[in-house]
Amino acid sequence: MKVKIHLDVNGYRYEEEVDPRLTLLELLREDLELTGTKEGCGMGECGACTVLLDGRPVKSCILLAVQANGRKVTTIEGVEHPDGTLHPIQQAFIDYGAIQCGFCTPGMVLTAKALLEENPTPTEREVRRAISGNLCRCTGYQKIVEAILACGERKTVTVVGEGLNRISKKGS
Amino acid sequence: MTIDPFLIVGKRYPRIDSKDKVTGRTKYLDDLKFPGMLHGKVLRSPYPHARILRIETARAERLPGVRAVVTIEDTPRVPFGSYRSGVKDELIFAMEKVRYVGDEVAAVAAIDEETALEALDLIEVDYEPLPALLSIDEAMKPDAVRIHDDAEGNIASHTVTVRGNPEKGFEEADLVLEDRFETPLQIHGYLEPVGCIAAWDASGRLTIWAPSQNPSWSRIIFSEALNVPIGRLRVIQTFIGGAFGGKLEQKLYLIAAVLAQKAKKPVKMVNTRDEEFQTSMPRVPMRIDLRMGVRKDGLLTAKEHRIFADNGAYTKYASAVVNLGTYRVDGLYRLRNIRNENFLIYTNKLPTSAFRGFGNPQITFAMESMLDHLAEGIGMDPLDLRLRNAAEPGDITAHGFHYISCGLKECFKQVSEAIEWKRKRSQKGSGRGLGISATSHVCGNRSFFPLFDGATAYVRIDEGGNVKVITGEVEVGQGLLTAYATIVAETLGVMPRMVTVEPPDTDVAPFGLGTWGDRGTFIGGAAVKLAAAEARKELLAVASEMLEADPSDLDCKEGKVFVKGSPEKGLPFHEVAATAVYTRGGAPILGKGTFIPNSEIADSTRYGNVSGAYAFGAQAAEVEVDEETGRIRLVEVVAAHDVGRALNRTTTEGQIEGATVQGIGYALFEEVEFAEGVMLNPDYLNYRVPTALDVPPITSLIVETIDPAGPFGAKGVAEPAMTPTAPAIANAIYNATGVRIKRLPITPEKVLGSLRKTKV
Repeated sequence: MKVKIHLDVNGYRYEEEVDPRLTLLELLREDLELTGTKEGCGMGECGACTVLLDGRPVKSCILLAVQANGRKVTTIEGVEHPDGTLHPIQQAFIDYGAIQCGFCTPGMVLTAKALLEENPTPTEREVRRAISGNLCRCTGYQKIVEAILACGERKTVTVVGEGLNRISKKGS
Repeated sequence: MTIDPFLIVGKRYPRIDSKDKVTGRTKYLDDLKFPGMLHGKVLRSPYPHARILRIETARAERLPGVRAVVTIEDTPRVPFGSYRSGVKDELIFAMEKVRYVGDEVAAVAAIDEETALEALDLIEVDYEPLPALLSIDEAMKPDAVRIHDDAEGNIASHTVTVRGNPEKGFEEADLVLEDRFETPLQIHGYLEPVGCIAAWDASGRLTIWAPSQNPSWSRIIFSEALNVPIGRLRVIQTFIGGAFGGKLEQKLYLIAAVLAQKAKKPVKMVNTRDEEFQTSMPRVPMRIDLRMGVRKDGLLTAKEHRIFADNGAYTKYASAVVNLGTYRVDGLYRLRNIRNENFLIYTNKLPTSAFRGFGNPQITFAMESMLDHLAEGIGMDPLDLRLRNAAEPGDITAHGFHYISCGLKECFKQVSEAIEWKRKRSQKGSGRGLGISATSHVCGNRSFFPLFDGATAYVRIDEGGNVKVITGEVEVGQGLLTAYATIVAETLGVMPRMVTVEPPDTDVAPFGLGTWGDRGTFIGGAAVKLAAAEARKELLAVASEMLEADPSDLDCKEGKVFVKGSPEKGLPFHEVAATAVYTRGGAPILGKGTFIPNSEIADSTRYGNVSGAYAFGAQAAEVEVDEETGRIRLVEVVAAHDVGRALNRTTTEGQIEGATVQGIGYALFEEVEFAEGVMLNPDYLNYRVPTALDVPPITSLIVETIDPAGPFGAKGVAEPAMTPTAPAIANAIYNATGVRIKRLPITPEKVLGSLRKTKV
């Protein structure tokens, strides 16, 4: 038995006939071919599959596609502006070196986006708490935290030239 | 003030792969699909040790949607092993016996994953359980059954190494200490599960797409196991979502190849997280009996260790880990009288193997813990004891390592100043403590891969001015592609974003040994630099005709080629590149570079200068321990690493920070636990990988010693940065509480238990 659902993904409307057991992650990755959302554990523990559901971060591997019926989903593919300009958080992740293998990055960016929309000037503790459901095994989190904090303070990151030593840290 | 001669090297340019990664465009293995592709799943043993009496696959084969069911009967049955081990104790599937919970028994390829899983349930296997040997002690009992028929006493390897005169060394000591240390089974925990796609073409040529850390090298082993000539096998590396030593040769790739051959369709296989925990190749647990002697004046006189290491059921790289990985520490301090004995023991648990640090975190934890007690025993500051014995440039270690560049003492100086060692160590009684520790590591290892050491790269410039680096070396997330782009950009005078570097395809790339042993930047980077220099020479030769000037009078910088002193009259880089192609029959500019480090294969006693350079580091930690609860709060970690030269400061810091946090996990949280051979915590909820809330600020200090052989002086840093963290934390806890925990991880329960004992 299939269930008919309609949902908005990154500003596009979709009508899909889905198996009621299909997860939102499977719908996104397999049916809609939006592979930017990653599966790290399939059990809601690592956060790699984080997407925004009506602006709130959710773990799409433990959410059913039918639960997204009538709602608005944002994946990493929907974060940059339609003209290709990166979202300030994406730019900050690049500038601050908050990316290594990149597998946690989409989920991390979406969690950060939700945080900053709710709390534009978070403290370090608030940032760490917000991303504590998103595991990263490469970076040790420090540069991710710095990127999110910088975004919070500055709202937008000014891109100067090619990035020559443009990051100055407190005390250095 | 010195003038920085570099435009790109040592700066903070963004990683060249970061824009694709931050927008979700990077394709990892699981993001790929091919028309007609099938999905494979593995049937694994539920027993730690059992005889296989019967396997019946007929029902599974009849299930609609199933395209192939395979067992050992469908494989060539050629025993194979990891290249270096010399032990060939594995087959593609279990034959006659299963040896651990998770051992591969059969596999299915079906039109979708669900059908494949359903078919697994229809395979009937009758087992006769055998006594399971779940610990080193059980496996070494005289009457223990053999896990492998030819391994007497369940010993996979046993080595003894003696240098100098250990007996005399211990006699000369004023204080000799002896103790036992134990290290846990740590899981790599990379976020991207292992996966692959295997496909055969009509002429019998196999292609494997996989996040492989060593595509060229793994081809040798795959060819052996599948009985297919190397030339009929192609490995295409996909972008890797973290590896840390865990994505060397995987049996899954072979199983996919066998399924794809039988089904005549491409087959994709991806591990579940549960499979990642239960069947990946995690860090080798060790029990280390260590004995060290020191004179009153602080000179270390002798060291002896006996290691019992848990190999698990099959020999992957654990023999190299225990034999090539645990003796490096002897050159960290100037030890001359040494006796090392290593036993690698089979048990009925998952096979263990390579993980960042490769044996060094285990033995360094033991030695650096003991150094604090030796210092205490002779009334010396632990930092001073270390400085008294620390390696220096020019040293030839007891095992024959030649240290050319060595910034160990500078690392100690910088960490101790940054953490205010002298001041804080003298303040006692606040529940706070400081600890310090160090590490030395190789940058490549001639002994690890017997065929050759070195790397080759091509730098190709097309008519559009696109600069491409073709390498067989591997980006695992550490930033290697960006390091190579940096080297090329600096040499050719272009911006890093003009340079593209992609994961290797063995049909195109030169043989790359891959990412392990901290070799990627030092060896691979040196090859890239030579290739870039060749390309530059060709570029200037073409430009010299265009500018009617001698090539030696030309320079290229900021995207232009010009006569020295007159950059304003220069030619755009891409114009020279186009002229090169259009005037030379379509030939792009192509530089080839080969770098062979000054390294040698160690002799039969493991003596020899196995690496062309050595990396060093020191870390200090400050902790606060709640003596009521045993709770440990990590206040700060300071990490100073001799990286030769940082090619990119941001990515270098990123390596130090990330490695340190893995070290924090090793110190405080991470341990796989078993009951009756079954893993109790095979998931991220019960196995604690540090989260953003678990880690303190990490201060990374970059020490630059400019190694003469490294590209622009660079050495490695990814591996050594994980090693000193756990002992630094253990020493800080001892300093805070007087409690010495000798078995990692250091949990509040252990601290509290020991505190209670000391108070009684």
